[in-house]
Order: sequence, then C-alpha cells, then structure tokens
Amino acid sequence: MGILDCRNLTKKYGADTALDNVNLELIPGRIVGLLGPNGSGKTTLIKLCMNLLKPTSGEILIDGMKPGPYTKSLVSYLPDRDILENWMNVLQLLDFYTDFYQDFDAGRAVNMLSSLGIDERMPLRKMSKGTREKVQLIMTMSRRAKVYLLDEPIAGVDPAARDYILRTIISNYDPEAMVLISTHLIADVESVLDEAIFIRQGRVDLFDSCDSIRERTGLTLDEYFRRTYHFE
Amino acid sequence: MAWTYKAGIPIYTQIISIIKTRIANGTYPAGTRLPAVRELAVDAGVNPNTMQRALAELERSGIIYSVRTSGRFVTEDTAMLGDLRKSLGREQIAALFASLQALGMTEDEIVAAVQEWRRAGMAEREVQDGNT
Amino acid sequence: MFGKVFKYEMKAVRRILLPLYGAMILVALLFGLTTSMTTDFSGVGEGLPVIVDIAEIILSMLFFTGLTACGVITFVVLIRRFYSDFLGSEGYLQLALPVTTNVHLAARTLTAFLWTLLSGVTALLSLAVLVFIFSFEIQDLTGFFRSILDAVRSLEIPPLSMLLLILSLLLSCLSGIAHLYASIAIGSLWSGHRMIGSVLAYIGTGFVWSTLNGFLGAAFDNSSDFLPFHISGIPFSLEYSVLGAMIALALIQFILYYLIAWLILDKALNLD
Repeated sequence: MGILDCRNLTKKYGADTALDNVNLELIPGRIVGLLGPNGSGKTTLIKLCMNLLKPTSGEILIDGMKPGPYTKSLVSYLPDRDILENWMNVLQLLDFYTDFYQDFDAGRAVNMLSSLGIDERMPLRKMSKGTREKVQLIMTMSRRAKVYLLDEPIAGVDPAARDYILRTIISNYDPEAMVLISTHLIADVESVLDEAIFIRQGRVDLFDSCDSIRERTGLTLDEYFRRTYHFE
Repeated sequence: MAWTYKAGIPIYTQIISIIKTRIANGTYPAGTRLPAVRELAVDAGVNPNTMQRALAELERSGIIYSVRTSGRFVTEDTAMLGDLRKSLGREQIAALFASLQALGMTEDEIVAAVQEWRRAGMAEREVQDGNT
Repeated sequence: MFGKVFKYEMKAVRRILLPLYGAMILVALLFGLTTSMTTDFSGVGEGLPVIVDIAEIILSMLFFTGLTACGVITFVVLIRRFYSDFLGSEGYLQLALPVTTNVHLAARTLTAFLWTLLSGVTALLSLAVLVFIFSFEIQDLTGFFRSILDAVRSLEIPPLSMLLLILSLLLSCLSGIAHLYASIAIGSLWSGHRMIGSVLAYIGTGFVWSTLNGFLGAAFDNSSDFLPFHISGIPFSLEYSVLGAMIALALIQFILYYLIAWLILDKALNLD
C-alpha cells in the first residue's frame, strides 16, 4: 500500500467518463509525472484526492484513508488556478497557513519570498498574475507534507518562472514525501521525474519509471508522448 | 539553467558523463569537495534521486569517494585521473571518427586530415610570431 | 479549528461591512445635523447658506438609500462569500483545509448571523441617531432614553414575553440563514443551472414550510396566528405557549435546513 492508492477509481459526469477504472499505487520518495493531453482526467484525479469531487465508483486512499480532514493535513495542493484570498497581503497569508497547517514552515516561505523580492505587505490583488502564482507555489512547497499535488504548475508561466518553479520543486525534495506533478508540458519537467503516468481519456496507459521508458523506447518522454498521442 | 539531455540514454548515465568531464577539465579539481546532492540536482535540473544514482555509480568506480558527514570528494589518485582523461579523450576521438566517417571519409583520410589541420595551425602561429 | 475558520470569515467580511456600517451612521449623523439646522426651530433658518439645504437634500437621499443599501449589501456579501467558499474559486483554498464540513458550515452560519444582527443594529442606531439629533433641542439625553423606555413600558408586555419574542426573532434569523444556505446547496446539485436551482430551491422549500406552518396553525388554534417565520416574526399573540411554539418551530426549521446543507456539502459536493 502506497501513500496514494487508486483502486478501480471511476468518475462519471452523466454520460461522460472522466476517469475509467484507474488503478495506481504511488510510494513516497518519488517525483511522479501525471502526463496527458488536456481533458485526459489529470485534474479530475487530483480533485478526487482532495475530496473536491466524489468518486462514482472505486476508491481513492491517502495513507490508507479516504479523503477527509485528516488526509488534507497530509496533502499540500497547488490547483491550476488563482485561488488566494486576494484581500490578504503576504503576511496575512503566512499567518493563515501557519494557523491551519501544522507542517507549514514559515521560515522557508519567508526565505523564498525574499529571494524573489516580494514585498510582504503588498496585498495579493495588487500583484501581477505571475507573482501571485509564485506566491501560491511558495506556500504550497513550504509545507512539509507527505503528498504534494501540483496541478499544471508551469503552464501559462514565463520560462524564467518555469525554471524557478522546477528548481523550487527539486530543492524542496523530501525522501519521505511523494510529489505528483500533472502537466501537458512534458519536455520541461521530464528530467525532474522519477516515474511517469501516461493518461488519456480517463485511462492510464502507462505507469513506469522514466529511465526504463527511455531505455525501452530510445526516446525522451516528450518524444514518446508526441508519437503516442499525436492525433490529439 | 539545467543541463541538456538526449533521448535514448538514461539521464543518470548522461549526468555521470558530465560530472566525469567536469572532473577531468578541472571544474571539480582533484581532492575538492563536490556540492551537495540537492545543489547538484537543482543545477542539473534533475530529481535528487537521479543525481544520487549517478553519484553512487561514480563512487563505485572510485572517481569520487564519500566521507561520512563531510560529503563527497573527488579522488586525488593521479593515475586514476589520468586514466579518466585518457578514456574521455578516446570517447571524443571515437565520436570525431564516427561523424567524419558519416561524411564519407576513411580512417586514413581522417588521420591525414588531422595532421594537415595541425600543420596548418602551426604554420599560422609562426606567421603571427613573425609579425610581432 | 472552528475558531480559526470563524476568525478568517469574520476578517473577510468585516473589511467590507464595518466601513459600510460606519459610513451609514456617519450619514445619519450628518443628515440629522443638516436637518435640524434647516428646520426652523428658533428662527435661525433664514440666515443659513443655501449649501446647507443642498447638503440636507443629498444626505436625505443618502440616508434612505443607505438604509436599503446596508441591508442589500450585507445580504450580497454574505451570500457571495458562502457561494464562492463552497462552489467557487475560493473553495479550492477553503476546502483544502484540514477541517470538517460541519466546521466550515457552522463558521459561515455564525458569521452571517452576527452580521445580520449587526446590520439591524446599525439601522436602528442610524434611526436613533437621526431622531436624537433632530430632537437635540430637547438637550436632554437621559430624558430622551427615559421617554423611549416609558413608551415601551406603556405597551405592557411582560418581560418573559419580551425575552421569548427576542429569542424567536433570533432563531428566525438563524433559520432564515440556514434556509438560504440549504437552497444554495440544493441548487448546486443542478449542474449548469446552479443559480436558478438555488432560487427554485429557496422558493420551493419556503413554500413547503409555509404550508406546514399553516396546517400546524390550523391544528393548534382556529385563528391564523402563525405567519411564515422568517418573513415576519411579529406575532399577534404574546402568550407564552404561542411564543414557545414559534421558538420550537424556528429551531426545528433551522436544524432541518442546516442538516440539508451539511448533507449536500459533505456528501455530494462536486467543485466546479
């Protein structure tokens, strides 16, 4: 049993099947890529982990438990959208995270924020979108969680910010935690990944270590992805 | 920022080559301490697990050694370092031959071309020395 | 955890509503001042500049629209907060917190309850300020309050009735809030038509409850003493038994709606 288990996990919206009988076992100490085209079910899977969606059938377990308040204390989630309470400034946001999450490392967050030159007193709504995204990432990565769920962390972000995000993910690596990065921008992240899950139309096509995929196919993950899903 | 990686070869293998090259060309001088795994991983743009694997291989080959609580160090064994340079050099030569042969040259033609290149280079330097 | 969620809800709401209520009281103050200045009490009105008249007119408009605005804005702010926390973007932040659905719901309910009360208090206070300043000629603060107390006493309402009446009003307020929340929760189940769903749910559940009320009223008493609770809590009868029944009904209504909201948000929530 891993830190994140999916057993025959299915999610349907009426006639639409977003996830079809997904079975996965993810263990700590790995950085795993959830790779697939848009609309393949990546975000659905992550939202199911966070109990923001309920399964139609099957189950999803985090550290052996169904998603709930306890699992949320173990999981640090970075959604693919702007979610911060925009009336807050950074100092208040730090307080917020410290209040609710015991594993939040405010010191780490402050270091990262100051290395980016972000003014702690500035209200979030006055920041540019790119800066807000970085703040969101910093908050997420400053938690010493068991599971990190990053939903499209580098999409819609300039290359310098992309570098910063990936470096932050690497340097915050914790051998006891599992990091799941969902993205369709495979070339940018593949060197960071230990394992890759290839998902398409709600079904998991492949789950293997990146090195064995590369050795087997002789391709980079990006090239393999393009060839396999080229008609999408 | 990140080192660039090719297809078909596992990333940790490519990292091993890069680090060996850096040791051979003096970027990581003999006897000095290597940066921490995490730092190297950030530099290389790879997962610390991957970097760890590469370093473990290098340790096995003896090019680097680890001192408990102090970190990893480049070997001071000059013979080993000399061998490393030689083997890296041979790899480069093999690569050179492979690409020139792909252009249609035979091995003899390649050797001749290299000598010609060297002669031309020396002559040019003489001319420059004569002018100054 | 409840305390923390509640704290942040209050923070998020008070930054909009406190300035609003403060402004309302200020408008009441200024309006009262200008009105008492322009009303010819002792013949001084003749000498005042026209601008005071203009100010008075503007302030009178501000005052009356302000009273309505306070109510409307309070309603909108509280509803929007609830909606976005559970069904909108903020849900991604709020619902990721290691906190039970009940704590989330209870914190919002309590916040809404307190601010609804405060908006009522502000309205009353504004009126009081207005009346007070206008009758400033009296120059007698204690006399003013005494006359209010005398007026209330003259109604000869027994103190226990007063207490029960206030209690039933408070519970009506609570059940009204729970009614709104339950409607929003029910509406959220109709994907793609959440807004309409909520409105329909609100009307539907309100109708069901009113009908029930009517039957109960007919069963208890021949007269139609029972009015829909959260529309008007003013009873015709101040008998303890009637008040007691009203309180019980309001309580049941609150619990029912709260349960519905909780069930849906906990078991059937699908975020965006």
